[in-house]
Amino acid sequence: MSKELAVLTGAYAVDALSGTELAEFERHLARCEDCAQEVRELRETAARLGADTAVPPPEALKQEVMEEIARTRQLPPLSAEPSSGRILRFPQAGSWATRLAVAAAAAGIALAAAFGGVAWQSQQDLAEANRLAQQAGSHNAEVARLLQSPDARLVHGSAGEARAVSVVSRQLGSAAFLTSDMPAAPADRTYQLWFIGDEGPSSAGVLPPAPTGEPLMTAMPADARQLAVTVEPRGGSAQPTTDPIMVMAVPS
Amino acid sequence: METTRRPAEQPEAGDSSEPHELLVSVAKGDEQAFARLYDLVAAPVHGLVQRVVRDTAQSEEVTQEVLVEVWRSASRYRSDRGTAMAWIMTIAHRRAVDRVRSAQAAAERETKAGRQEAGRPYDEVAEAVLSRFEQRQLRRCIGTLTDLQRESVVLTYYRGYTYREAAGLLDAPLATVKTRLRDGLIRLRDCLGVTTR
Repeated sequence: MSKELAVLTGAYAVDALSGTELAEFERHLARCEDCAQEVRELRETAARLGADTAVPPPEALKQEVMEEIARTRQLPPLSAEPSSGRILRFPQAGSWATRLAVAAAAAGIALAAAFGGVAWQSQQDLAEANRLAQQAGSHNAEVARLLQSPDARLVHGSAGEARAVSVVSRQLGSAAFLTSDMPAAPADRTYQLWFIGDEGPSSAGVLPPAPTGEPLMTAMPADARQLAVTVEPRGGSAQPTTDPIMVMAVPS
Repeated sequence: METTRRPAEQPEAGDSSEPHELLVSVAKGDEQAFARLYDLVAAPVHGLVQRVVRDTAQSEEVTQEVLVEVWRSASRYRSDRGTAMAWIMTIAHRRAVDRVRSAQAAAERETKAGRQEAGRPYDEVAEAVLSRFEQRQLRRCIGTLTDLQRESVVLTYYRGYTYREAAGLLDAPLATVKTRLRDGLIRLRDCLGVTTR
């Protein structure tokens, strides 16, 4: 392992990295199995320090948590052998941010104000939100709840003619993903959506084969930093097997 | 990689797999299992969160977020990557740190921490979750660290500082703190006999 970065396993295991250093180490981690193993062991160690002290939360919290989980959708499991797939490095979000903003503005589906983390402030924002709500179809209630979440953010993506818009809420831990002008995937292929976080990509589901106009609703992992779309064999893959055709940064 | 096994004479070994089994049921949507898991882990989670966040109301919010996250992501827990308890505590620590790093919370915390700092030992213990054996072992292992190793671990893990902030507080070079932090954790790992394979 690279010496300079290898030393950071300790800091990473106790969440003591930030900013570009964190991003740089995570990129390194994706390629360095020794580092990943050491991080797991040091996290396990740190957890022992953490479990040293118990402070029972107020009694009422349990009821609140039980009520909240009763209406919280769980993330789907990853396939049994996620490591068998090829784990790809995904491009950084930076350069995309600019391209997305430009592409989205040109396409007229842009919410320039929303991109980069400002919530519904303009008329256009509201129009876009309405469009999503109207197309929500069977997901109507879910989408409405998402749109009304105080931390809801819109992000845009594009690939050639295809455009994508996603509404994400960290508070709700969910996201809606909607495409337009997406060319049909080849017969034996499918588009698959991924969240990319600390542990690498995790599947957010396979896009419907025919453009139904309905958004894909999905639970979003807490550590999600990017959304990506890849072309996968029909039925989807446990891990991405091709380079993403579209990557969107998830606002923190 | 060389690792020593956990001592065989450790008491309550039978209990240690319980969070694991509950978490596996929770992944299948079993709310009853979640309620039992809650009873097992809510206090250590809250203990850690409160240690990092300090503010009572904010700590409760974060603890709630963590427990809901455990429910939501249960299917992503991989037993070959570590214990269920470590998986949960990792979520708890990250959420707590996220909370204190948001700029506003940090400002509030400065003043609050300043007020609480005096006379509050870092290891103030409300109630122990670890068995007495484990606690003695932990104390003994912490005792084997050098001062700088121990302070680096305490400031980052229990206080939620970045290693850069910790270096500032310790008035030590960045490279030194970075190394001591890793050395300290490795020494603890070996002393506690932590293994994930």
